[in-house]
Amino acid sequence: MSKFRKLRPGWGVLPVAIFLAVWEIVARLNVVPGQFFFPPFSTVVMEFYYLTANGVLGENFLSSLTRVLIGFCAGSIAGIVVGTVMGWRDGMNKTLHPIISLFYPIPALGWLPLLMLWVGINEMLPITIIFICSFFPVLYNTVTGIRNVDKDYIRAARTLGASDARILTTVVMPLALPNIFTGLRLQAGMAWRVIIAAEMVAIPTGIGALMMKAESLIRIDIIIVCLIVLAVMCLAFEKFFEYLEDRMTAKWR
Amino acid sequence: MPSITLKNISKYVCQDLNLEVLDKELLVLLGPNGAGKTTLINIVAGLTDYRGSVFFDDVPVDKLPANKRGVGYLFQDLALFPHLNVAANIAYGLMSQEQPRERVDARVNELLQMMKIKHLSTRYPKDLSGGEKQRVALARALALSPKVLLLDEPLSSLDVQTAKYLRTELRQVQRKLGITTVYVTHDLQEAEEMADRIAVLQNGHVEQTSRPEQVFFYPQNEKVRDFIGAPNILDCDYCRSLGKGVMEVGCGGLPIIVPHDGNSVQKIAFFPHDIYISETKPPGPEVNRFKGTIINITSAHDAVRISLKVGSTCLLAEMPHHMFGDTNLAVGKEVFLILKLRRIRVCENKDL
Amino acid sequence: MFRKEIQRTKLAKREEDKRTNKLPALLTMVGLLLFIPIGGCTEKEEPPVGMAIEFNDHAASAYVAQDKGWFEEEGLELATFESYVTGMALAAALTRGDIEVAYICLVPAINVYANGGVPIRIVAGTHKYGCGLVVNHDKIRDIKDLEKPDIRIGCVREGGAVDVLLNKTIAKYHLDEGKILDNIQRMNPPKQVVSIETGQLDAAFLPEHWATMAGEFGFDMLAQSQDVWPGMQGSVLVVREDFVNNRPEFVAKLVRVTQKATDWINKHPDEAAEVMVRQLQASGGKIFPAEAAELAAKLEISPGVLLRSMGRLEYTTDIDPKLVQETIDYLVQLGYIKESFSAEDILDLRYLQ
Repeated sequence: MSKFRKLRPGWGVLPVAIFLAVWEIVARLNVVPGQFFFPPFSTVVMEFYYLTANGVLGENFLSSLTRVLIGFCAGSIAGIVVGTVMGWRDGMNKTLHPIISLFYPIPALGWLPLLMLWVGINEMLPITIIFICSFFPVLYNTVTGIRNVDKDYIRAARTLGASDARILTTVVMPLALPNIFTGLRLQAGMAWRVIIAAEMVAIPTGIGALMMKAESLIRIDIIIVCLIVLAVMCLAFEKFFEYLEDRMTAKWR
Repeated sequence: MPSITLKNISKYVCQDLNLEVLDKELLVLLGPNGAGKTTLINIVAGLTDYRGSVFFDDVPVDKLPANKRGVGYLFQDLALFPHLNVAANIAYGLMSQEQPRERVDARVNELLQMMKIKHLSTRYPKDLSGGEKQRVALARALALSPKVLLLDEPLSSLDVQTAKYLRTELRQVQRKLGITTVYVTHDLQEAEEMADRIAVLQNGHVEQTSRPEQVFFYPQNEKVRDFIGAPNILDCDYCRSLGKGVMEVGCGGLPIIVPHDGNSVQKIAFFPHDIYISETKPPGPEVNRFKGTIINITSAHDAVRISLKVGSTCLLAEMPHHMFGDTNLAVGKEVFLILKLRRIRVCENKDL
Repeated sequence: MFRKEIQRTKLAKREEDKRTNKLPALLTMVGLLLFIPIGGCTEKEEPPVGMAIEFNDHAASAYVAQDKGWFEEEGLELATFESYVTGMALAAALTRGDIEVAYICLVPAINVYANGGVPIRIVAGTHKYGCGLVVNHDKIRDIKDLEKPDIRIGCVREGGAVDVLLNKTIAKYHLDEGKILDNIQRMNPPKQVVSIETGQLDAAFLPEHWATMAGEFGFDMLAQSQDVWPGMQGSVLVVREDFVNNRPEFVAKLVRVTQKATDWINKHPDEAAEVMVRQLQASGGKIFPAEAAELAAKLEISPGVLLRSMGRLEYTTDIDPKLVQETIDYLVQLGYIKESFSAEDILDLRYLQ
């Protein structure tokens, strides 16, 4: 039994290692026609090194990261603020809900053609897309989190002399945090998926632009490097919010 | 501590309801679900809008919001803030009043000592037992030294032993602090243990407000009588002590042994389910055993009700359906009855 | 990516002819099989071939050959005859194995070989030059004006001949690379032309015929490939290596048809322009959906435009291996391919007369 316990930490790594080994072997055996159409893992690793060493990957990654951070933070903050207003005040919810419901189903990338005309093809375009991508889901999660707070907690706080503002900040918002974090966690990863697509549209820098450049140069290895960066960043952002949520709520959940 | 007066209160099921809670009294609101008990205490607390007036010591408080009425409230599910530890929960009201930190800490410590939960101060509600949560909730409700304490079936989710223990504690705290208290329950036994007076509520209407023994022995109407379990209440013609904590009382020609040793007994009462019926003579000592004739059998949803004539006295007994089905009981049949000694309640002269 | 299916009327006719002639042929074959030993008397059937071209007048020789039916005359059966708006899109199709023969710009052909690992051979050229820089004269008078921060310049994505021309222009005129690249907006040629028309671009690096079309919207040619890149090899005819090894007659016929079409273009420029209008509009009509009718109307091509455009190209099947090597080395310098290789590895010019 103890042998299995010792193995346990490695269990997460093992499937990945097997996958990479199979990838390397299948590519080397040229099972898929055209070696560069399906480069081995080692080739991708080498290309990752070259792109990092010559600064290309770093430069494009920073461009994407900046856009994601600005767009995501702005969208999330706006979503939390508006969501709080809607969740706390029934009148505001009734007023804004029909309008929000109209816009919410539109996928973030669906806004692209319109924004290309309104915003233009510049830095603001991907940032605006990320803003939209983050705003609505975080808003909805905030509204849900606040409205799901047991009314007895609010009543209890009232009987203990707390004002509405204090109840909102010291009782309702903390109890709504799990829901809010769910929204943040999901959208943090989604922001990266969306930025790649937005950057593919005539934006000269960023991971998405690098992928498009690689596609027109038929550099599959670079495309795969970009996809790996995308996957890692999605995971990293999601894990970050998971960690934050844990720090803030694990004690009492 | 103030008295509480409710005048012409209308909200949901309550229509033009009037009620008075005396200064320092523990009044129990007793009634079935949907009677309006929780609605009433929410109205006192200012947690819901209503028509009518609420007075604390003849001063109207209708315009005061809940956070200004100085009321302590213990919710049915306690509503301890899950994200705050025990100390922070108790301190919440004090912090809301922006009291200095030292005062807050001192008061919190005092309450932790009083409730004997000092060892729990850093724990979170999710790590507390039911009884521990109750104490924390009570400490929190008392933190601001409220003038009025409202408790909404606070012990309903606890096991019998813990509930019994906490009832005693609650009563002690209430008496010690002398807080005017309104306690909501649907349990008659709990009401009898806790109350200075009981207000029986049915469909938003106060049917009777009296001391517990008066409610039990002198139900004002059928509704109250049915709610408390429709006990057999017998007047006593005589009583004599037999020593060893028992007395013999005479009720309509029936000599009944009751568990009492004190003043003379005016009435006794026992519930229908505390009468044991047998078709044959049961073995055992001849204590509280009588012969009677079945005069009526009625099937209710929860049990079979059997009306009996014992001497000149009419008694109502009760038997579960599955047990009745195994018998040959029928109207006109002669049967044997046993009255369970320990289940007989006694009403002394002085109680009235 | 834009596609044009094989011209159905001609194929359909051929199919019909086949069917009507099938029965006698079948009987003859049965008879032959019965009376003649099987070994070596029946001819192997050559499978039809997938061909692709760029949607511009660089591939004029292919369009003319198709229009005149010269492929069929030589017995070259085409399974598909597809158009792609950019050389990079065509290169991707070649890499995937969708097509076996292509009229494609030299630069993406090199990318296919070096990066895609596709074993191709360049068997002939189709033209030289054929790209240009067009500008809004009100905003840009001199090439240095391209560096201004508010200038928006269109160009295809990296890996195309026009993109290489952009880099050559930066080098030749000593422009600030950072400033220029900051002003670049990557989009395909039709989109650039529409953007010019709607005032969203101030300059554009375009292949012909798009560069001349931009002139219809008031843009002037500021620099041509002749100015920036002397001897620039335009498009080339490429086939998969196994064709060269296994079907040399096919390749020879293909080169012959291309040479014939190239000669005809040079001798009959006006008729060539009309053929191109017909062929490009036939493709374009299928490209744009009904909703984009206005867009399609904007991009209609007139014979006059095509004539002027084709006049800016030098239609010839000749290729200079030295210039091909220069191009390969330049792509290494730009970082588009990892390492250099000999031009001889990709060229097979024995079929050129």
